[in-house]
Amino acid sequence: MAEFIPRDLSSPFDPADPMQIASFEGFACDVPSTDGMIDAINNVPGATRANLLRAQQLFADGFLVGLTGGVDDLPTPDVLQPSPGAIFERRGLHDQQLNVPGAGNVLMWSFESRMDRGVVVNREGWPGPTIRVREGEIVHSILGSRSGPHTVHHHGIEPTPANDGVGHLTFEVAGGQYAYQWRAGEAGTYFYHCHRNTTLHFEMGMYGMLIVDPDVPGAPFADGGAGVTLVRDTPTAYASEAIWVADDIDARWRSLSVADGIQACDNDARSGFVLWNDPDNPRLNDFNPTYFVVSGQAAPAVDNGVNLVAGAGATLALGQTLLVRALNASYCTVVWKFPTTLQGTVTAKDGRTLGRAPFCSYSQPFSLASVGHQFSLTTAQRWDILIDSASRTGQHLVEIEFRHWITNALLRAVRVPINVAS
Amino acid sequence: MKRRDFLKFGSTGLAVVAVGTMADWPVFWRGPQAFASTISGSRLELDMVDAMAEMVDGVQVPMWAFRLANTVHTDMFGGARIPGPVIVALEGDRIRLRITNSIETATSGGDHGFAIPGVDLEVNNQTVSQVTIPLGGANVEVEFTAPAAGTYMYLDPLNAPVNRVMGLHGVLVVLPNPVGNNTPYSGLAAGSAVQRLFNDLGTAAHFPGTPWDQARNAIWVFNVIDPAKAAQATASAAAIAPASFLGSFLPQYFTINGKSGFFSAQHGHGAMEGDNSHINDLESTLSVVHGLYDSQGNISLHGTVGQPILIRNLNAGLMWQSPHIHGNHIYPVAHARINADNSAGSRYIATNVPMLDTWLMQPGDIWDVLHPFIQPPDIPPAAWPPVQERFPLLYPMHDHNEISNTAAGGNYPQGAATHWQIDAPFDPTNPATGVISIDRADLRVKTGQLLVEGRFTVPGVMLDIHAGGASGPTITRHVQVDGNGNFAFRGRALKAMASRFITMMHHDELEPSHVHATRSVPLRLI
Repeated sequence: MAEFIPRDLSSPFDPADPMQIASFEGFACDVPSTDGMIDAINNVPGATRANLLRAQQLFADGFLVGLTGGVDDLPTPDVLQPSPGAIFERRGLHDQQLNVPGAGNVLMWSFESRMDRGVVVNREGWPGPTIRVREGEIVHSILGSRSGPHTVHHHGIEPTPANDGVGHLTFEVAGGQYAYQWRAGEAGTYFYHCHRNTTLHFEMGMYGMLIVDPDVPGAPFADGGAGVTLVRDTPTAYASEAIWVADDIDARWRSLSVADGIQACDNDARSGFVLWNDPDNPRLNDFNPTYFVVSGQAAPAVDNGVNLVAGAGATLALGQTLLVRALNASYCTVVWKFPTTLQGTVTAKDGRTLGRAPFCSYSQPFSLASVGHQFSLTTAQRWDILIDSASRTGQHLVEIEFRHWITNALLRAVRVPINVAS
Repeated sequence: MKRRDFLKFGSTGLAVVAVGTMADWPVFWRGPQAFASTISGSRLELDMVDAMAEMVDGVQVPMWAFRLANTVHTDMFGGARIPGPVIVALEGDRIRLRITNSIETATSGGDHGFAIPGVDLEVNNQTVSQVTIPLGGANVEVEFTAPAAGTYMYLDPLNAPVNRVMGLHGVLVVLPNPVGNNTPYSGLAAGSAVQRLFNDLGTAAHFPGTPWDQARNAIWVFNVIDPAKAAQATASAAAIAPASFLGSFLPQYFTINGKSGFFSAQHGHGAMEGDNSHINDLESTLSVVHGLYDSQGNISLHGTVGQPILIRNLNAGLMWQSPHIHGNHIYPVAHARINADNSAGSRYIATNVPMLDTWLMQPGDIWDVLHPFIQPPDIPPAAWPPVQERFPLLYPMHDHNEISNTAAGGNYPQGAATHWQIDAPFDPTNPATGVISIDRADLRVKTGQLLVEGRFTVPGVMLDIHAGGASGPTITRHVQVDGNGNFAFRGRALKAMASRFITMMHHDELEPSHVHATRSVPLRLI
């Protein structure tokens, strides 16, 4: 006779308790929103208990009183004046196209930029435009609710929960806009992404880079150009920058819509779940990528043995230094293999500079050679690598292996060139 | 008096059992709700049983599980659980287990066994790396010496990886002698990265707060479940071929400590402001009456700023997982790997310790990571502490390979997710978050003279010393912590002779039964 192990073993859950079911709903089927919390606090009919509980847990008494959902924006708690120019504005996009050679256009979701560094712009494309700031700045990144609800989570940035952009612990932006407030505490490589129904929204492409440059003259720098990074505590110039974001695409998922897979509210925390045998089940656990991408440039749809992604390549002159910022935005484990013809030093991981005082003084930079010129990154990990091109001219190919998240089978190896001119 | 000491286990959803020497360590683990008794007596009895594991959506999946056998320990956290109970030992302890295979033959999927990769077992006076536990209710006595301090996985090594993934796995935590040691490991070189990191906690300017309290640990065991494969594996008395189990393996459920989504995130428990009391009372009626306290209730973590915690991550499953924590970067300090055939792989203390927000957990990986519990560094200083936003500050930890944040193909975020929370800014005057360190604990055997020296992070208060665990006889209630946080005690302590342990405590002055800080250490007999 098999012993029963309940799902709530040792943390008994009672759906009949209004607080507990509200907590459950706010986590899963009725994630609170900017408008929803304002309405709930101001006793607007139809406001849900999940919104009310969340607003009460998150904000001081009176914070939302007197506001009107659909009219007023949710204010940023403990708001400060942002640093000059450190304002960005993003909106969701569901209609971008990625050309995959040999397969044509593939649908991508993204973020549109409405403002970069305080300047009104109108930039679409995929991935979303980079948010680039200088260390120490107080930043406001504003998310509008077009095509929402969505959120912005600044991955690796560690602000208060209200500014962390995790819907199921805080809120989604639905109605109006919200200004996420955060300080660029440590120079390094980060990214931002939507944290609603994240399995789908992240895979569909709702992300962009977030780079914090050191607090030096000229910062923040332009993507791809010359700049300054930290090696331990020392600002160190580089001539060129390669922002390499590995991604993978499952064509089947392109037919899904934003809320697919989100369970329904049911009052018992049982009957609202999406069932496995439901013909409309989005099967977000069944991921089989066939297209492979580096920094928004797709490799050929059909494996041709080389799978060169020339458009993501870097070019520099002999003797110059290249800063590679490597991010795994795929659901594969990605193995990065650098050619032994190039020497490189790993200077940072996950937005933290190796050897930098005080927090990173327990680590030190290390050479690519010391790890056999290759390393693995699982989803969301980042490494910064300074490449020294002094050794020789010509084309050096960096190989990026996409390996299956369960079997570790090699699904595709793509190559990105580093061209060193004489 | 038969003493029953109680072991408190912080912030995980796992049951904890202390065995061997550690059986006398009453409050080695601390948390908001979790308690577990230590084992009185010298042997831990485990059963392997058939289990029906309820998933987050109510679907029931046939698996196999460890459970505490029908002994005194059953009261602690009776019933099957996946992972099995955590076994806590002190380095060098001799541990005795009796393991019974109570799995029905018809659903057994073949033979079952027991191993702790990296640890030699002694069975019938033979040294072995694993042992088969016969079907039909037979049992096997297993002894082993607790190895070098660190985190280990015990498991059923047979038919790898099937029996492990199907639920027959658990955790062995081995602790070092804490006297004069502020780390989770033994023998670290003075200038090593991990030693320097732990030395700096609570002492260096960038780590305002307390040192690591050896009580502050969490355990996260990751696993993945494919109900169709589970049904096949438990469908007969014959073992499913691993290739058949692994072929087209498509996990539908992604668990941390056997739970997922809302239930691993522990919402509604300790999430409201003010609800962050530590119930450290070892003398509580509940504990005495039941003898045990079920600790399955906490996977999420909490504390004030400046209360670092060691999180022991283990991947018992089949997915290359990518745990990501919000709010703080962590320090990966020690790693081990179990090979695909469940044999021992590598094990090391890190020498180059970066800060990460995401770490790789491939199948078989064990990573101890130190969560520093610092003030989240990207909150503008002018907005700290927050006023319009309430404490506790709640942050998620989830696998960033977001596939694993689903259940049954959707139902985001009902997968591999939990959270941690900051209850309040650091208050150096609050003994409730204080940490006792003991630098010397000697007992002169001929005279019964006890010499204890140490430090408490809150100066000017009074500490108690008990023989054995916290419920053991009082040796003194008057150890004065001086203005620099130092204390010393020298006096007769014959009561400590039997247990060879002492426990130092600070009690709440208004509610003396409420224990704020404890530290149990073995005595050096001189």
